[in-house]
Amino acid sequence: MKIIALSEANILSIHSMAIIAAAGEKGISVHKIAELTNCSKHHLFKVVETLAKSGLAYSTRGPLGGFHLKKPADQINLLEIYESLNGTVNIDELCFNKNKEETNYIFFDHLCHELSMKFVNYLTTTKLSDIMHRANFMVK
Amino acid sequence: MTKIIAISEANAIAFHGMALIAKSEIAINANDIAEISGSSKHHTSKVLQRLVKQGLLGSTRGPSGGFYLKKSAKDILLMEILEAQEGTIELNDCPIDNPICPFGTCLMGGICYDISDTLLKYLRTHTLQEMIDNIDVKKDLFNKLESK
Repeated sequence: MKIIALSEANILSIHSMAIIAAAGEKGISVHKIAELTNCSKHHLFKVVETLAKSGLAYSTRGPLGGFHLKKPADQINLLEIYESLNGTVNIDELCFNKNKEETNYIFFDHLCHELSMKFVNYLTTTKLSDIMHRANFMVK
Repeated sequence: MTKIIAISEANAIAFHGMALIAKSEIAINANDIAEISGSSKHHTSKVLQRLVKQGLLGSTRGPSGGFYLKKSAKDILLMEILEAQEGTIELNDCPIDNPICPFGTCLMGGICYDISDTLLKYLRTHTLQEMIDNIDVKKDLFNKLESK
């Protein structure tokens, strides 16, 4: 069981964006990202397409084509990447269904909310530029 | 709705059901729990059956039958309730269980591990008794069941 509700697509989106950021001006192909992250090309293509639709990345065609960031890495926070796949995060509805509130006997719901907020705060305050250096060695 | 912590509806029914059974002075059945927790009867029955199978609950048949705790609430860890639904839970460094991280170290700085570890530690160190001591089940809910 996973405690944090992150899908493979969520993880791939953040990892791909870090690799695209590290690749810089020369860009990088989906094929290459799939090879580096050891995941399915088909799945990755869908993820990167969603990122492009959300205005976070764009692609260029041709033999030297690939994916690039649409804006500088220090202007993209991880929450934007997360929300491009999951939709807007509503901080009032991070743990349990609202309609259960009246009969909510799970007394650790405050802890779940606190931990969810910790995660959302991490995504909000972490910029792509803060993590992209970890992908530098992959695109040399 | 985007949930960050992956507590499923089945998990929520299990916690609610165990709390109601522990708190109730009369035997309550799956229909009562489904009604109070606002979940489907079918789903609630499946969840309760898993709790019976794992030895946390027992059940009696008949018109006044229902579920009862198999052991004292102070001897039931919240983790046991979760594991009755999910099987043994092991903490993995990677949120998608990738055995080899292509980045060498977690790109997200291990925040997923930290959050999961905090929640699991909490569930391993808190009992059902502590949960029911801290909740206020509306009396009229049980009165309604008794008058049935």
